[in-house]
Amino acid sequence: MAPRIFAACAIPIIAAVMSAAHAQDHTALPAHSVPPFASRPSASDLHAEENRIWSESDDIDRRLRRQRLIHEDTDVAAYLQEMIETLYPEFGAALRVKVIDDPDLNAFALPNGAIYVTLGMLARLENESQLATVLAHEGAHFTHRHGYQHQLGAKSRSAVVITTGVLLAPLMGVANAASLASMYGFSRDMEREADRVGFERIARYGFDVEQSARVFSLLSDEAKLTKADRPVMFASHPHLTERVGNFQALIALHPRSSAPRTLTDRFETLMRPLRVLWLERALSRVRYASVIHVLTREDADARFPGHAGYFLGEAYRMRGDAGDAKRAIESYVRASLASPRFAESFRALGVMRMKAGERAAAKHAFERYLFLAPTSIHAAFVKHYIQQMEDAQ
Amino acid sequence: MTLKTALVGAMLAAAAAPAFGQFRHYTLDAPEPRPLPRTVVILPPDVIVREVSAGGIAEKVPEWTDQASVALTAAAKSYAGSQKHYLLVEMPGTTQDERDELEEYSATLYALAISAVFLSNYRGTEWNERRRQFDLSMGEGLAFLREKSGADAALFIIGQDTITTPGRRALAVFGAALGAPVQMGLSVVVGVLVDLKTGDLLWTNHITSRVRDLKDDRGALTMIRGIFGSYPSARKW
Repeated sequence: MAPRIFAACAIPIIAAVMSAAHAQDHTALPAHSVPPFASRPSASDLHAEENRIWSESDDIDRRLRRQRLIHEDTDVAAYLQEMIETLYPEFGAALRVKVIDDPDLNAFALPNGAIYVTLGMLARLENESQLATVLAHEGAHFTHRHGYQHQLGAKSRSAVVITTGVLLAPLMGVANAASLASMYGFSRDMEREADRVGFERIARYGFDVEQSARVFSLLSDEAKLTKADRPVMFASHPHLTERVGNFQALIALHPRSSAPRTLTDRFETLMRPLRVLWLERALSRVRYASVIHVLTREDADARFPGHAGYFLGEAYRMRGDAGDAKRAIESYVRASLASPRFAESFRALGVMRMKAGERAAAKHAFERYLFLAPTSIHAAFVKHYIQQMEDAQ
Repeated sequence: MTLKTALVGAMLAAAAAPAFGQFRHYTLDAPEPRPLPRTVVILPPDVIVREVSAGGIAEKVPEWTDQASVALTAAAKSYAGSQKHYLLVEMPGTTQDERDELEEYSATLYALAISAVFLSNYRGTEWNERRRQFDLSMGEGLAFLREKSGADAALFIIGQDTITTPGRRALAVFGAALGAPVQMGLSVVVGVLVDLKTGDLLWTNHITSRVRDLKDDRGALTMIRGIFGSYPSARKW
């Protein structure tokens, strides 16, 4: 009986307090009635509360810049900017794309129109249409004001949670769980909308729509093979396999363009150096599984220069699973044959041969290294190794 | 608990709020006297003012942030000038890279001040040991500021203020009556003096207040006075 009386009293009190607290703070539109931007917004188009999250976004932009996390390459920056302006011509430079120097798969949009794509994401993409898919998706978050909607929704839900928590402290755990579930679902809805809007854009501007599903297949494959639960970008997104299915449904409804923009020389020219840079970054961040996955794909030789085998060897060597030493040597050998002027493959090969007791082969590799890189910082060590092996004979 | 008791509790909690407004100080400097700078350049304050909604979501309010920055700058200049602790030097013009660099220093110093407070309050021994050997340094990266300004030291002022909405204040009254506290606003100001030649930290103070408002001229001046209350030349060694 007592719980019933408590509930009977508590519910009207909660309703009254919530309504009072909410009424005091209620200055913004409800989240569901925020219209998308039709074109580049001016300051007067922003609600006062939206202006706040734009200001916070500007702070994030500044922090990323001052912490030197932005990959500064003017050609790549110009290309990405051109691409987003192709996809969203009516927004002009309101959308700004930057590359974060990070090896993991990620892309995100800030409420102020800044779009960040990681080096890791660019390195995995196979063609321009896949890049367009990612950028169009992120652009849709901006045009549809998802950041602002999310903030409004979060404020509204948190008010309910805290009011309930104050009045029904014993049930706080339930209220928190309900709120988290609700926030998660809201985010999934926005992701689906961004997928749909992004798809419409890539179709409208002549990109290959088939590639939209392919992007998510690639990411899903990597997530499975690298044993990651899911890539960071999709932590709050609908499940990857579900999204592949959604895109396939959209593709089925859309007539394929006769000559879609898929792979352009400019894309390849700009992305190839980035892929090599990604290999360096990924190894330094212990992403061995990702490097091995990407470099053992069938198309790796076409997408990476010959010396990429050196990075594959390094990934095997540093991972150190059973059989990895042998795989590392094979990779170094392949790299040394494909790029005979890339010195590092010979140094790495020499070290592995030396450890295996293959002195003649090790010495040969070290001598080749010294020929190619006589002034390198490793030269003294390599000479020392050669001397050690000669002394041991 | 009767409704009457609850209402009395709420009124008492509301009435007691200003009592929490007294400053809390966390001063850190060398235990022994050391030469103080004669000329100091005051950097533009690194400040952010947020509003906390009924549900506890904090949002930066750009116009309040700008107001607080102006108020803290004016307060720091006026107070430091009037106390003659040192000679003020005007902030020189800086490039974008230099401003980025200064913002990074500011963020690092704020993290240092916060961790010092944490260590002083909750862990005890670590910071006391650090105080005995007060040799923290930011390195030589601020040399450019010495060259440009000619000052011996730079004063970093970092401020954070959270202001609660009327909805949250209403909720806090109900919460107090029912014994469920709701976190209210807090103003924090950190002042750090850095030797521009060596990068050594000369002095830092961190104060908090539950009732001061950094965007308000009087609030900013009161907080700045509170900060300088522990400045070495204002105390007897």
